[in-house]
Amino acid sequence: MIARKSVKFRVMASYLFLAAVVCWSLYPAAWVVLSSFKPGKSLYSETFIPKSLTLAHYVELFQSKSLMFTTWYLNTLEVAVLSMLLSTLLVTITAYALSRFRFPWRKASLTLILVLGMFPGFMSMVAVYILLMQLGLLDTHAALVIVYSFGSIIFNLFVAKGFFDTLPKGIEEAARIDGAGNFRVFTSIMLPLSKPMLVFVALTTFTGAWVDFIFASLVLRSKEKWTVAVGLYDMVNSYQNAYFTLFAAGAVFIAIPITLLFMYLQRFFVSGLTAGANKG
Amino acid sequence: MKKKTSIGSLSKVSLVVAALSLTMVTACSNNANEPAGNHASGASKFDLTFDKLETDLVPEPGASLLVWESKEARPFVEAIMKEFTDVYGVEVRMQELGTMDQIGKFELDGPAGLAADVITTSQDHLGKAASAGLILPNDEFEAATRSEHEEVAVTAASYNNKLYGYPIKVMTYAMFYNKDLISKPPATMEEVIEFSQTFNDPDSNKYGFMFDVPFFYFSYPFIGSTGGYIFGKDGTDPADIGLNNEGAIKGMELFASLRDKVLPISAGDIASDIKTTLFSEGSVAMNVTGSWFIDTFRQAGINFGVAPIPAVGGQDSVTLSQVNSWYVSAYSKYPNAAKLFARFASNKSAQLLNYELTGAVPTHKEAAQNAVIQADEITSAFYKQFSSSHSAPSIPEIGSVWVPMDAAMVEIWDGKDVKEVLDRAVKQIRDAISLNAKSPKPDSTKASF
Amino acid sequence: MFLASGFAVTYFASALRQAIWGIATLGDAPSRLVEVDGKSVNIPGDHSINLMIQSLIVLFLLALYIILCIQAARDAYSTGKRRNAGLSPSTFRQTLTYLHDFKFAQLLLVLPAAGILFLTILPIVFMILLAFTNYSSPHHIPPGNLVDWTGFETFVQLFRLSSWSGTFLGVLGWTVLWAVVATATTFASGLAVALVLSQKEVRLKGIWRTLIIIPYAIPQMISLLAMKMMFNGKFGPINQYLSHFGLGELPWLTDPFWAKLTVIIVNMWVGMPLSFLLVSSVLSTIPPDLYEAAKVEGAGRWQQARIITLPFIMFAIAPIIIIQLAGNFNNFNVIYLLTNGGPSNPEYQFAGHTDLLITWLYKLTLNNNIYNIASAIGIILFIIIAAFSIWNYRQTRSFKDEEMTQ
Repeated sequence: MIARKSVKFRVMASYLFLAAVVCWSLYPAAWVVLSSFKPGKSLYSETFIPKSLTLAHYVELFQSKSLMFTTWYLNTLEVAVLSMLLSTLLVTITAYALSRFRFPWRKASLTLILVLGMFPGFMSMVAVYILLMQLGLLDTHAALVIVYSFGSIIFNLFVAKGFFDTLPKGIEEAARIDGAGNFRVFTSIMLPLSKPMLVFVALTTFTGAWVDFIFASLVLRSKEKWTVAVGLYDMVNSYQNAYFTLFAAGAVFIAIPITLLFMYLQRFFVSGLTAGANKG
Repeated sequence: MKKKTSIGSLSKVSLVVAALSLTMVTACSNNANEPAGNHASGASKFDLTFDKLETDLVPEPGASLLVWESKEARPFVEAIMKEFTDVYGVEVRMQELGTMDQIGKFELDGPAGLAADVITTSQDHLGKAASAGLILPNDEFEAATRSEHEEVAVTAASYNNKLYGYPIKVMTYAMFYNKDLISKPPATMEEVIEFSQTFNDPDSNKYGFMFDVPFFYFSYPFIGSTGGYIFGKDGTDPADIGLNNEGAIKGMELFASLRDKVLPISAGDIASDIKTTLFSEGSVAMNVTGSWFIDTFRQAGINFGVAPIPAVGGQDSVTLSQVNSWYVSAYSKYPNAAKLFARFASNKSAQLLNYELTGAVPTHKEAAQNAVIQADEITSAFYKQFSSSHSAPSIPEIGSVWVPMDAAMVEIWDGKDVKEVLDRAVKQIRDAISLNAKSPKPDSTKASF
Repeated sequence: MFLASGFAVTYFASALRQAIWGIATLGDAPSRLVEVDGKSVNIPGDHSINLMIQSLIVLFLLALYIILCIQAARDAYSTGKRRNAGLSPSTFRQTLTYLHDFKFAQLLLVLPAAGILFLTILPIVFMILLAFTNYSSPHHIPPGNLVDWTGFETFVQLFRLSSWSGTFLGVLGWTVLWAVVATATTFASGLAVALVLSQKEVRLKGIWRTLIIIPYAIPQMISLLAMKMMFNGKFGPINQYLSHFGLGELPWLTDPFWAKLTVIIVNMWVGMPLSFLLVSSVLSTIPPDLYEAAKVEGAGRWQQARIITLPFIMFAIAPIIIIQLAGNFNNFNVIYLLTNGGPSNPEYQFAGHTDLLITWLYKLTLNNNIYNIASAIGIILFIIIAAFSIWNYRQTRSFKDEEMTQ
């Protein structure tokens, strides 16, 4: 009896907590969305819901001659998906190699990668720019995909490796005894087990491609090749008359694919979560 | 079982959203290649002539040019491009790039061969570009440029006594005022103070006079009008800094007094776009900002006028102005064509056209005298302010000035001692400049070229 | 192998000399404008920085090539030994199988390693080298000017200007404090939310999760700008609500202390979804039997959390926390977009109260184009972070034994 009451209390408290968290998360987001409907260029409005609403910014987003939003959108989609796939592959094989095998230089490599991630990024951009210029890859999407994917190794490696570390060693040994070679073990056993980690890497790289404007604006020259982030940033940065509300409208569109991807990838979380949940 | 259906409906919803957004995105997609709506020929107020220039210079065979200009200038650039092609048969393309960003990109793109042949920028980036060898001087048309354009503009387009630019337009800031709230613009700051005492109502966000306090660029009248200056000898001597001289201190004291009397808001909270919104909604009577906001206020439907900023300390207020000019890339494959274009697009007719299409304030003396422009209240107000302005210095050392002075503005506004703050800011500027100082070059017998 | 060698040798013969010359002298003649018939013509010269990078690329390729040669030599040696012992040398096929079976890890790592070498290590080496030059405005910006090697002079200059070192130490102090607090708060909040949401009794998990993730889906730039407006002391809605409730306005962004607090709060908003995601994925891999066993033994919920959940999470996430810590040292976005380092601090050179070393660095380079000093500061910054992180990482169990006590 007592147990049930305390359970109820806990559950109620949990829901309240979650509701509070969601309010806190969504309030600024709601502000951004609402300001995309507000006339004028500023994000500022004296009331939460603007005094007058307009679709002008959305219209401008698609009709303006200066903006090629559709093209940018599709560009970004392309870059994001390719980066997501390539980076997931790279991170997984690197993490797997470093986690499950022992060889000389292993610990040194790990420390090295850790250390590499600590350099402030923007100074190295000039060097990457020249490198890409030598390879003739400037103003291409391939350059972005490559840089994003390899860059994500540095950031995601430890997530992936930590994950692999927690998988029991027994599984591989059992498979090897059954005669499976290294490659088979990797593809048939390790990969399926590592779904949550794959999801994490995929999601972060995908999002990264949508929001990065620093590197993308350095590499992409022609307007037709821009990604959404570059286009929107350019709009906000031109002159002193920054067009924030248009940016807000664009941001709403950026948020859509990312949220959708997440909703789709959620199922890989679910299977584990319910199983691991506390009981009673 | 329950779980399955909830996931199922979740993915159904997401599919619908995805489908909807994709259709929206593609259905509303724009044809980015639609031709410019505005054509100069035909309906012009002015008597425009576009002929071959008086020069021996001819475009290289097969020349085609790439031009960088900002979004706002697009109507003008597209029109002038067409005229140029008609006269010279050289194809011109335009790429949009904010004028403030152009030099940064140009540094990387120029040597890589990806940059435009003709770029636009204002003089605060000129020093950097010229000393890095990125642009060609305006040699071919130097004499003509010097005689035809305002002296301030010519100085602004020069560096180290060499003329590099082909001036296009002037940009400065002045005072926009809401005619419904204040019918006659005040002539002195004292009048502004008087007006604000009755008009201000912080609780309903009503203010008589607002300006971008935390930005030295916009607060400059309180230094420049009373005898202060940035660099001596017309902005070319970095050793002579006039930001903490007596005149500057006097002006800044007036600046500090405004906080209580006119604008009782802490500096960090005076956000530029909030100020714009308030003026657009009619809550603010006077707004000091740049000519690039004219359209915004027009669209907001405010009955506004423009006047020079009220006199500071009894002197005509002095603002900082920028002159946008064309510059020819040193890496252009077609320098002749580029020079021709730069000259063509900054002529009297070009400037009149620019005024007509984008409201730009001309630098060309004759163009500025044109009756139509003189009759335009707004443009003539800006022109008047421009004629008593200091041109923002073009030497690279200017880069070290903005940050310390912005900080100084905020500190003074928030109540610190004026002289102390200014002295400290100047010291910081000097320190920063000394870091950049020329280190003794190793005496090298460079390979003869 | 011979073909490859032949090709490599010819390539290096020509490229190497140029590369060594390039990196040693950084060019001899800058681009110049020369008067030709009264008109200026641009004579392209040596672009010091491009030269440096191009030379670096060649040198890196050389290093790779040498490694390959060594491997080939070793292989030849062992093949020779086998021949001497009377065994037939391995066929190509056998070599492949050998690689697959015994050097699988190395095989997997070839591609990532190559990419990292050129895309990450090369730029970092370049950045380090910059600190030893005089690449700065206005007298040493190519292509119109040459850049020269200056050794440690940059560092000397940095420390000699006393006002600068004062700024450096002050900003450093805040950077460390910020990194620690920011990491702790984002992690703690992500952890809390993940734990609450992982309870069996909570329904509609999918929807909660999606709602929580939304801040992450919105580009930081716009949400930070919106926050900047929301926290505006005079006009922002937050203060408006506060005054409604009679609580008075708070100087969120204009007071040094409050600005620091605001920055941390906003960072928590931005970072919590990612932490939440991370903890959730770890939670999803905890074997349920552990909990079963614990329950059978009579462990209560808190005990289960303490003994099973938390250690598991810490083990998996400890290295990540260290990385996040290091990342927060360099967390450019939040500070730059929200406060731009403000409110301004008069004692500091070019820095404000909430400036991190990285934003200070950015302001220096952007405004003054003093790239060499910016590099020098970057290196010092890096040394500090790296030393701290490496030490911490080696302490964690993840590094030491890498076995979960199962």
